Amino acid sequence: MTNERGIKSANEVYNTIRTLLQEKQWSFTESQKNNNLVIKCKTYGDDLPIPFQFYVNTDKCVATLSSPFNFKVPKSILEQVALIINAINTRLVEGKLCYDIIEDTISFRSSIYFEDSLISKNAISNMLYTALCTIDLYNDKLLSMVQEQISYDDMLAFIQAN
Amino acid sequence: MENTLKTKKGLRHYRYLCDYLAEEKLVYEKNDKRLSANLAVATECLSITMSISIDIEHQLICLRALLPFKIDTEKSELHALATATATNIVTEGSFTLNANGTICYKNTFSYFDSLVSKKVFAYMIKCAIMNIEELSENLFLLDMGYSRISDFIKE
Repeated sequence: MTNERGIKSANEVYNTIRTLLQEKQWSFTESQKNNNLVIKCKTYGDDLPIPFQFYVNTDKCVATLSSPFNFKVPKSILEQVALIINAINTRLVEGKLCYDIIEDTISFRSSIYFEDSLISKNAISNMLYTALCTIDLYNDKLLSMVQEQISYDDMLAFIQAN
Repeated sequence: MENTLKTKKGLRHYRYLCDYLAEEKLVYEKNDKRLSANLAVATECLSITMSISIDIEHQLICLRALLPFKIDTEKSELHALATATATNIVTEGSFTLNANGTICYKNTFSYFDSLVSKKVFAYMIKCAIMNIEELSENLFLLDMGYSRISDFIKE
């Protein structure tokens, strides 16, 4: 794909994301970094705030949704959290939880590849909705686990039940 | 009406998948009933088999591949750290550890009312090969005790 076509497709996807967020009346900030068109936004789940960013890469033709969880994982429960993240990722149909064991952080990531494709508003909406539901389901439970309010076994049981 | 559109779109994407595999002269076996294709790719070091399917109902393209070895289930904590790290490193897809010692790479694409090109299949397959080739050796060496988790993370 020529860069011009890539930029055109990326702008279409980017504008679809903008329109979607505007329709929801969610405030967001926009920026551009290297080959990425960036939208940063924040919403609220049942319990915790959910910050998220869209990166639309004009060169690679990939739109990525990324949402960092707002807490750090203590090194003392590193292995347990890794097993829990593995259990969650096994069940997820779309997207993944990313555990950075150097930075002790967890984030959710999902992406859409759009080269030569017609990506609908519903696809972007579904990507966002799925991400927010997944994050809302697990972020408070993972925080409780990190704060030692939920045991490893209870967390595992919760994952298997949902 | 909606179901007809979903089916039409799903069948069209399955045709694109098969066309792409044929054009690239890849070795594959298709299943028209399941709208899936099993494909074998040999790289310099590995033989990778993967399955790609179209889920009409959920409007998903699913790619799954099992790594060509089993790990010692006694070391599940160590391998959970490794697969979590691998999942964090790769831009597309995730690695997950199964109870029977297999490690699965999976990547899904939700096309929800979109019309995707053959390039989506090319991208998914290339990412899978690249990610599996890059990380399976590390996971294998870790299991055999020839490397440590700290070496894995540094790479």
